[in-house]
Amino acid sequence: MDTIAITVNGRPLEVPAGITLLAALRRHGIELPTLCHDDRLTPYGGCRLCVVARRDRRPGLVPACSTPVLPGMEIDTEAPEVHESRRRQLQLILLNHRMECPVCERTGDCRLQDLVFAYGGDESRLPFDLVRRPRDTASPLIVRDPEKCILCAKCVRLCDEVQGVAAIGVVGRGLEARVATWLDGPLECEFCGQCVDACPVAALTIPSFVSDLPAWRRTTVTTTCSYCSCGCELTVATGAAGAAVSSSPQSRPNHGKLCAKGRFGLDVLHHRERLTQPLLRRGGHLVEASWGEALAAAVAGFAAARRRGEAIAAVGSTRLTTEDAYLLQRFVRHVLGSPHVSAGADPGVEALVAGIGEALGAPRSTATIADLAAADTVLVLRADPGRTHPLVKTELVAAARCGVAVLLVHPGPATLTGLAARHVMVAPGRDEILLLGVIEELVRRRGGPGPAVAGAEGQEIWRLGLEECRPAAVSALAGVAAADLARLADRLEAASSLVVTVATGRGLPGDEAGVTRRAVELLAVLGLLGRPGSGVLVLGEKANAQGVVLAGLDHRLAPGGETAGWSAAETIRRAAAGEVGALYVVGQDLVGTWPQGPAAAEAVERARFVVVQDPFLTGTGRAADVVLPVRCLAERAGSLVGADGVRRRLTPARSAPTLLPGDGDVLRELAARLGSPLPGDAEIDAELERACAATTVPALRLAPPPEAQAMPSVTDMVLDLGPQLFHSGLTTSRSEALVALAAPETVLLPAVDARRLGIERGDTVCIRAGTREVLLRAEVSDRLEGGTAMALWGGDTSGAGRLVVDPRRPLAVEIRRRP
Amino acid sequence: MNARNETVNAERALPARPGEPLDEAAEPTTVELIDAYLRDHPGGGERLIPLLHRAQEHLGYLPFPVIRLIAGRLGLSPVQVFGVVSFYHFFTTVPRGRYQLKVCMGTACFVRHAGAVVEAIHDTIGIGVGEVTADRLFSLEQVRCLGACGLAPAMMINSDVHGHLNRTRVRKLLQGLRAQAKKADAVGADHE
Repeated sequence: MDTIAITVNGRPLEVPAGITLLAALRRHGIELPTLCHDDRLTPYGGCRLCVVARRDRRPGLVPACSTPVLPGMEIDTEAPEVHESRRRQLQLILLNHRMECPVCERTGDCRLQDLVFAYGGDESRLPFDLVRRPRDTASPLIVRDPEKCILCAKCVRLCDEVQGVAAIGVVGRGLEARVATWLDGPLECEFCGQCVDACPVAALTIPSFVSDLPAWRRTTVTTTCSYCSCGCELTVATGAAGAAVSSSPQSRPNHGKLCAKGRFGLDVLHHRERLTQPLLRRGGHLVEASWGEALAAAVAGFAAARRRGEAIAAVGSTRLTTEDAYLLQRFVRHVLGSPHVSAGADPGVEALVAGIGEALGAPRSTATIADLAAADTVLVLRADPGRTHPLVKTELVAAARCGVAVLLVHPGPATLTGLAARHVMVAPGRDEILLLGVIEELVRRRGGPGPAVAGAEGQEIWRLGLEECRPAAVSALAGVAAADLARLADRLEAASSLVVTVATGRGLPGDEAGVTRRAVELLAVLGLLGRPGSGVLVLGEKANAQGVVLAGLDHRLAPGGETAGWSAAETIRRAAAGEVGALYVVGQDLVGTWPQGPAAAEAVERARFVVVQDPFLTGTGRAADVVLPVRCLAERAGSLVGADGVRRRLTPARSAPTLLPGDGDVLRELAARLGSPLPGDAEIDAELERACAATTVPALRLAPPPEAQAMPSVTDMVLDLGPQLFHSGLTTSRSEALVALAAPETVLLPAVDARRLGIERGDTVCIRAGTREVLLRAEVSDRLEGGTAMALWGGDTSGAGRLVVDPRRPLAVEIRRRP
Repeated sequence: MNARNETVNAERALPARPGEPLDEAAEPTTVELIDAYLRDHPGGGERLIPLLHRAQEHLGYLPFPVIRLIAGRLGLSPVQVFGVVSFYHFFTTVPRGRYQLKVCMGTACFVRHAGAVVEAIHDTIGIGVGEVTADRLFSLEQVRCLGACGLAPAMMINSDVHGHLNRTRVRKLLQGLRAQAKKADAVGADHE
């Protein structure tokens, strides 16, 4: 990079060319005051507080944030006229700012206040009345107070440039200018709350978290978000009344960005089903018991099953800390002596273990979130990241604006549709066959699969299977025109680096593992496998999918090649058949989780002895013999491993309602009572560090394409299911804030089918699959391909979710107007 | 909640106008006009202002459904487009008349009784500044200098400047325009 010489405050400096004066000075540790500047945004030059004096041939005051640095500049950052200008600027800002600092909730944490302390400006001599404007209290979760707004427009620009939503804008001119929503309605947005964090004053606040303590008396804890697998860093400030979640622009990997779940979902900790005392089944009823009694009962139950020689099985969760996941699998395998331990039916685990793990030998993503911005092309598969992994969406918004080609494969309108260079509307659950079609096309074009594939295991069968995936066949199955398939192949072939994101989410029809394997194969065929900056990024549904897998909490990951145990589905089947003596369920609600709920209810009923360990009283817990309450993730210390494979510290952000143990504490106690204590923290930590740092040389194994009969051609209407942004499962269903934001479940019908079926927007329709049927309100869209209906489902208790039997199959449904 | 907030007087910048369908779609002819413009002028967001000009030229003002339509076509959010519309004085979301009266309030006109011109207009057709006649024939605005100080007091009616105005001239001018409009409508009706 070229450097140029400038002089600042009499000191000669070398700075890179082509950056702003502000950035150049900050590189040398010279700080300037700003109100409207944010490194994540394009320079604005609105507040004029970063003015500096030029002393070279073009003297005068210039705003440093929007002035490019030029050779020979002589800058004075602290000249009297600079200070005077800043003071006057603050004076003008304060003229139209409702000053109520003593009771303002931002007092002590207010950028404007800090600057007035530094430069003065509070002694206004101009006669001027505050322009009165009403507060917006009609919006959920966020209150906007225009009388405090100083029009720095950071909120407006973040909403547009970073979040890609633009729900607010600066409207009017001069004194009438204000930040407004469309037609002054309540906020209709993603409720990411980035605007609140960016606001330098108290024009945007979160009233539910308004603390009764000033900023300097709140305690803050920086930890890792425990919702999805992005691993966002957030800060929880706790006052006397409540807690507020924020994130600083310096945080990684999220650069200060959070989503509605991370910011507003902390209220789950106080849900009414939160357990504080162990429960024990006595005379057919669950009654409160002491810890001593409950642990003794659990130990006795496990010991009895072992003595009788009955099968013991455990189902964990991807919402455990990495350490606890390690302890759980160790407890089940070594203390209980059973291979039957898994993390439950988590699509992220499937993608990692049966997808990447099978294809490359190591169950971990080969790309990171940071790679998205640096890639040439990004292929987005499976869930709409804007709904399941909002951080990834914001990264793609920024990437697309910098010219990264975003290729989207999704059955219907998605949050990324507007910025995608290409959106292939694939039939629901047909993404794997579409990828095979693309691979076949590329192999044919290039006259062979290329060197990366040539030596791979399973190559002959794979190539034979690929013969069946000619464009015509794939086109009919995937509902994608052959020309569109070829254009997608063109784009992929042109990529110099490619990141494939596989966002997993509950309810999406199709096979995560299959899609992930094809993504690996696609990279191999393109010659990009193992290249820096290219790879597959599996976004687990829950926070610690990657960590749990690295900790070995999966039935297929038995150490030392022992025989594989039962998966969660197999455990349920065996238990329902009466073959399980003791069932240990940790952090998972088998009964409340769809689609296996009804079968799981029978399984829990038929298992001889059931221990449930969970922060909440779940459906599974209600049928258990022993229920052990534990802390939630946000109350735990430990670590989470994000989708990018980085192990991040989890610090207790809130204290548990009563003195509760963590999952690991319970496991240690049980192990000790069963006579074989679990290893200490240091040993586990070293073990996990090794697992996280391990690098394996990718050895490609090819899987034959699924057989043709497994993929019936699309005849009926096919229903695509996907999670909503605000509400996607049992955890969010316990958050009042998030449930209130969630839209009622509706089914989106293509205009062409709606006409054919005589259905109009707002009608109630009956959707039938086999013998099951649900009623949903219809919306009509002309952006859906005929034959594909979409339902954004609202959690495990949702309507459309009940139609699913096998989530890996496309869901064929019959839709008609309710008579 | 703060007591000061309770006393805040609601002052909405968007005047609530009864009869303005907010939720309705734009007229098909307007949709066609906008789509034709976009077809003839390939490009991106830089087409926003010319497109707003085109729509206002056609409709006389920019109804909210049209703003939303234009935003959707250009990949912008409606409030972003409204930000532009509300910034420029030229654009209006309020219907204007077929004859748009713009009375000059520049210094020269002001001292030569531009106020009387406004009064004369009010006496003749019954509207004040910022208003439109019920038949949408006339609308009245004040503007700064028209650059016709020699003709003070002056006003523009659509693109024509009329100078040396007094009460009588204003009355005759407006009555003439009303007659002209009636005649034009009658001719138009005959042709149908």
